[in-house]
Amino acid sequence: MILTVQKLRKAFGGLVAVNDVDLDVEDRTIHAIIGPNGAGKTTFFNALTAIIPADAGSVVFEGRQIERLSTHAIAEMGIARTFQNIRLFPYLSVLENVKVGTHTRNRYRLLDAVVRTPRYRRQEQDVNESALALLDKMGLAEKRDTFARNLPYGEQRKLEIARALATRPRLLLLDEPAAGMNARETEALDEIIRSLKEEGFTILLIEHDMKLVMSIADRITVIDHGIKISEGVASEVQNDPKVIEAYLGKQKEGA
Amino acid sequence: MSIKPFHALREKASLFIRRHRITTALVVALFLLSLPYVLTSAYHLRVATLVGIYVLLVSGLNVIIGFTGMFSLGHAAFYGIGAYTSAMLTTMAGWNFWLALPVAGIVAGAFGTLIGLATLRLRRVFLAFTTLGFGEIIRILILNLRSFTRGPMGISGIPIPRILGWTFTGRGYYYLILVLATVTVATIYRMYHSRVGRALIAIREDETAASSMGINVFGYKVLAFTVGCFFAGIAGSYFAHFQRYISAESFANLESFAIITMLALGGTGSIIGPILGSTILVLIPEIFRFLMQYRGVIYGLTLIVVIVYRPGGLANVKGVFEKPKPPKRPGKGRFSFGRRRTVVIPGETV
Ligand SMILES: Nc1ncnc2c1ncn2[C@@H]1O[C@H](COP(=O)(O)OP(=O)(O)O)[C@@H](O)[C@H]1O
Ligand SMILES: [Mg+2]
Repeated sequence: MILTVQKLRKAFGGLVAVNDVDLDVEDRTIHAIIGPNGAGKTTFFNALTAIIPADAGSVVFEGRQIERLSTHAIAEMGIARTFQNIRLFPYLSVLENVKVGTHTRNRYRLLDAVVRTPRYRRQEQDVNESALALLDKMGLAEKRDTFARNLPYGEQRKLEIARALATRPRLLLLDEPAAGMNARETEALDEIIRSLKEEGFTILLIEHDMKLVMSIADRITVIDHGIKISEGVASEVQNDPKVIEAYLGKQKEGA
Repeated sequence: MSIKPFHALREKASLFIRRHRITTALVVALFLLSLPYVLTSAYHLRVATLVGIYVLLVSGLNVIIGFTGMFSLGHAAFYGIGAYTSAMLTTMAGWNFWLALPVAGIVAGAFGTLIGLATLRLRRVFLAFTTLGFGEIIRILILNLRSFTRGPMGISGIPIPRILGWTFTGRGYYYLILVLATVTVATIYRMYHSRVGRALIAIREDETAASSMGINVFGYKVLAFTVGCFFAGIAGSYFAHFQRYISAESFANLESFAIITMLALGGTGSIIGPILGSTILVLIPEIFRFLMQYRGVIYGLTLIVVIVYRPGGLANVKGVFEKPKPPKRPGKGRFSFGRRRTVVIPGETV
């Protein structure tokens, strides 16, 4: 297990958004979290990455307790994420956005930069090359000098993934990466996520697009009202009466 | 306010500079180096030197406001700390100027670190209020710690710098501030084009996203604040030995206001902006002497006009005063199972 979460809990006043959730994520797999809107999925990610401090629970990443660490320390340990409501650096160029992602990988000091030591030059060259390579991979190379805010929606999502990958994480948390994408873009995203798994990344994915989830996820966890109600491979989850009750049934009545 | 022709000119100029970098650098260097021989009046040379002092102050504040997005309203306090540190060390403890200069920078930087550690974990407004209050506290301390600062009398007889047995003259002062300003601008430029500069700007743009990229937001904020205050301390030390007399008035909140206005006019977040802003706002009241008594009014009006009509200043770097467009709401997925909840809670936007 690359990630073991036990009894993670987060309440907002009386609302228990994440209610003692356990989760095990196997190394080099794609693990999806699904659940209706407001189920607590994003809050789960926020608690995991210390953006919102959890009330209780334990999080073990690669054998180390991380629930007490701050957001930047968790990122440094090898967990990167994207945001449901895209959070790029709007007035930085596409290339600069990805370069920010390389922050923890180069270790030179302010003084190295001021004196332009060989160390600074070497690492900056590496930053530049790897950022360009990532943009290439995401098909954003031509947009490298555009302000991030001026990208179309689908490309902003891709840029967020590129920026997260620039940290060279071992675990990648994606919060609804396909939201707002058209069918072609979603298909391309499907390819990208698969190829990331091939490359050895572990992916924890929140997604509403069921077609995407069912086709790429190795394992699926279903959350409703902050509680984990089901877990298993796609076929198991799809046929779980609890899931149908909490989720598919309501869909019919709401639609 | 029509800025189109100006914009075209700016584009042309920046293109020219990019194409002929070495030529431009040589011309600028030649101009700056020959200036003391062109400006034969001692008064003109003084004004040129004053511009240099403000380049240090405004560039330092730019690291704090322009790069990192932290609103410090008391930059002159750190300027004053540098000036008094250097003046006291040289007049009372018999230190050499060349040693007092870096120490003044370090002392001002250390005060910056302390203020940063105390306030930068809190919400953004706390820094603005604290620095505003700090400016007033420093002024009152200067007036009341008479045994160190001589209170309202100020410190006079601050020694003229000497080097290799040669005592500084007007030209010497000019060249010294030229070196200090060049080093300051180059240092900040190189900082900007490094992982540190990227971290600061990422913090300005989105703190949560920055920390998710592994950036220690609090640590870098304190660093940026310290760096900005360090350069203010250096400027203060130089000013003390240039003017040879200092008193509390030179470092009051009105001075902080002047520095902020220069930064806004030149362009926050830009390297060249602080140089433009300092030059223009030092020169205007000097050229139109009759305006001197309205300095405060000029600064106030400038600040308002810039913020309203051209928030990026002359250099027009995007980002500091712009509000990011709210992200377009994604259309509901074609295959969404989402159960619609109409309650929107602010926290949901995380
Ligand atoms: N910062 C917050 N403050 C208060 N309530 C919040 C906050 N963030 C989320 N919530 C609430 O917690 C519940 C779970 O939200 P969220 O985690 O965003 O759900 P999901 O991502 O599954 O759609 C919702 O009812 C939401 O309104
Ligand atoms: Mg969500």
